[in-house]
Amino acid sequence: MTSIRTLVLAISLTGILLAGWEMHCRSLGFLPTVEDDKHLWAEKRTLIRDNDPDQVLIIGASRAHFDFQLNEWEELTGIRPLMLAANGKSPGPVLQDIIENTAFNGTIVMNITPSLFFIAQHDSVGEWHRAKEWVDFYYSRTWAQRLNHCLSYAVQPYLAFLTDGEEGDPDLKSLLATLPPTGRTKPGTPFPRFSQVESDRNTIMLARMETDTAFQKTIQNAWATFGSKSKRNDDMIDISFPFYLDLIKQLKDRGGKMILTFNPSSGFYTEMEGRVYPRAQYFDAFVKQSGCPAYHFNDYPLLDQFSPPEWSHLCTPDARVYTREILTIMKADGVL
Amino acid sequence: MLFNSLGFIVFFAIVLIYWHLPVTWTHKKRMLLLASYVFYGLWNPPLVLLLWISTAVDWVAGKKLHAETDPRKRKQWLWLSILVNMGFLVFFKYGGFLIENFQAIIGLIGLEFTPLESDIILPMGISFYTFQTMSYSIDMYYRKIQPAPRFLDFALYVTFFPQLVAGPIVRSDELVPQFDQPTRATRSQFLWGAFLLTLGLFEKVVMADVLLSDQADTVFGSDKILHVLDAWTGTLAFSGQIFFDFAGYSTCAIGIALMLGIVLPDNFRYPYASIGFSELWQRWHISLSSWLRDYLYIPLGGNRSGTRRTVINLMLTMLLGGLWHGAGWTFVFWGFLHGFYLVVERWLRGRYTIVLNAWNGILLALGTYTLVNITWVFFRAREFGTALDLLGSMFFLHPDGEKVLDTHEIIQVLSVATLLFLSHWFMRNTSVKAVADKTPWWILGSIWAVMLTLLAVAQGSGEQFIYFQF
Repeated sequence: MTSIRTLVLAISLTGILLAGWEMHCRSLGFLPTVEDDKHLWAEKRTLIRDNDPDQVLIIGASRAHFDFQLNEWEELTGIRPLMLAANGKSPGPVLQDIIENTAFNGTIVMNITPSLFFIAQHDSVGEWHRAKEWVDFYYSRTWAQRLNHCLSYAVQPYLAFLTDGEEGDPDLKSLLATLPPTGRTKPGTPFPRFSQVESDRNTIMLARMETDTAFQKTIQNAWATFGSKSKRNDDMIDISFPFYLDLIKQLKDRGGKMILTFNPSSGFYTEMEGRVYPRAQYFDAFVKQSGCPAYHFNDYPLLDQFSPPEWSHLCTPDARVYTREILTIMKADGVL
Repeated sequence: MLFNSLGFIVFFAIVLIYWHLPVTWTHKKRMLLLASYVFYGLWNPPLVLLLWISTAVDWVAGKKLHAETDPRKRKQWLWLSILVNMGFLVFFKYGGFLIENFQAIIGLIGLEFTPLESDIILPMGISFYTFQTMSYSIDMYYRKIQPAPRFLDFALYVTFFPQLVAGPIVRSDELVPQFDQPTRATRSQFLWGAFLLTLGLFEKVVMADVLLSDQADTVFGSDKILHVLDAWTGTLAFSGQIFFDFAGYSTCAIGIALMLGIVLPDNFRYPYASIGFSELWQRWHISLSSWLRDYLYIPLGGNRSGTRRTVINLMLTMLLGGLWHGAGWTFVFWGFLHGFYLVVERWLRGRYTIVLNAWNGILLALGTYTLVNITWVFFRAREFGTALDLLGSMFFLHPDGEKVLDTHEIIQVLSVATLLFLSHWFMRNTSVKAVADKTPWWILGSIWAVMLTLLAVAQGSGEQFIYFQF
């Protein structure tokens, strides 16, 4: 029956079991971190300031998220940018939200990952829809969700076992998903977590990625599987260019600034992007029509010196150097 | 606010601290009422207004119904209460459904009608609190109860946060008297309430969300014709998910209330061990089925006016019970199936007598469980086409159906479903409390610890309870 000693035993045993679980998670390499989810993104979205020409926003997909390191950025420019880039999501809905729903007139640094940028603006397009969901969540989140986020945000940085939501994480559902497939259904492509974020959404690639070639291969396989569906479709030029150009014009009209970047890739991605989104017709043409300062890593030896371990993102030490180099170039050009 | 969230833990800790402060009973009740509004308002503050309107209308209607002697005026006050509450329900919950059907009907005669796009939010728990307040007015009309002595007590009855958004739907004579005199949980009540809260969260987070929800979503979200094993697995997964989700909520609600010293009635009594559908409805969502019995089935005449009328009353009650769950024809059909089963069961009982023993009992329970699962297909599927495809797969009509679940997922779901059915069967004549009282303290403490640990490891993304949408 329930008595005080039952409760004491339950709490003590729970403490012991969770302490053991925490140690086990840490021994597997999980570090206490905050979850990069729609709640954290929405919290950062609230920090956009109207009519502040000094504010800098970074938008884009994962290459912007991984490759721009906020500490280095702040060190070199004196301004800590607001990281609103989101993995696997198009920057389109985010830019649209900033232009249509705020009076932001600072600087936006937008990285272009072609397969997430030159797409239709429609909910049936996953890359668009996923970003739109985060933007919509910013507006629809309840006070209860805000409160929960604040509280979990206070706990997450201290407990590694709270890492959840991605393949291979130590939460119960992810653990069950690691059971080996039996072949009854077509197995999904393994895509384990390979990064963690800090409280300001600065991304750190797991150190393991730098040395563990099997781990690199796993992620490369995932990219090859996801990217193999990409087919050249030049209709996307007419579909995507006007959308972004109009938003950029509105930003400029209110005194804001847009800087475009194309961050490093290698291997399969360089090949696929060159084939499906030829630079001349896509990136260069877009840059020309937008009239924005733009930085393609291939154009600068100092930016082209890196080799992303899984073809698409820089490991954190390289990202720090890359951030310094690109900022030095931007400052020299007088765009920052 | 969700029980399965950190926010709720902090909220409830504050409520408990205040509840134990040396302040007057009235102050404590005021705090509890305020806390209940905060609990609801943290989801969508403006919709607290609906609660206030419902509370004010039914409070006034209740007083008038008590004082008034003119039958015509009494009836008018009753209708006011029903119209306001049903008006909210129709506007917020069924408005879109009605317009959609109107559009379809006039489309049949060649007319076109394009309604304005609507962005009406369904207020959380509206079906629960409107039914609860209506029961007060109806009971007052029939002079079955005394009016609540104070507005504060009545407002608390309407808004008491543990059961506000997903029941149990409590009658005023079960709750209002408990607000009359100062109350505080005894130590054993408090501990048992905490255990129930853990158990309810474990049911929701671990059993429903982690072990069953993905498989149900995969099967019901598939646009393919499925293999028989996948179809049954998905259906059993949903059957378990909805039980653990809803019974989990009720268990949390009962536990939380008990920690404050307030006793709420049971809402589930091992329904999947029911032998027949009349027993099922005495074990599943008891507070709704008793509401429908007392305020719909019996006023319609119940079983007092001959077989034909009884059948009509049963069908009407279950059809409306289906509609209560959701604004869609699949829900209505779910209600129809339950009504049909009840009618057939009634007919069979009139002709055959079965002496139950352990062996035929479990077989009949298994039969009932199987039929219940068939009804869940219509409840979960968003369209009839999906439901029929799935039923076709379940009954071997699609031998080449697609396999969408891996073997370990099937084993996982079938193991949980088997354990669920067997645990209901072995628990059908007892209760968790009775079993816990017989269990040595160290075993109970260990079970409690395992549940707490798995809850922490499961984490969960704060998934909403399914019944919030009703």
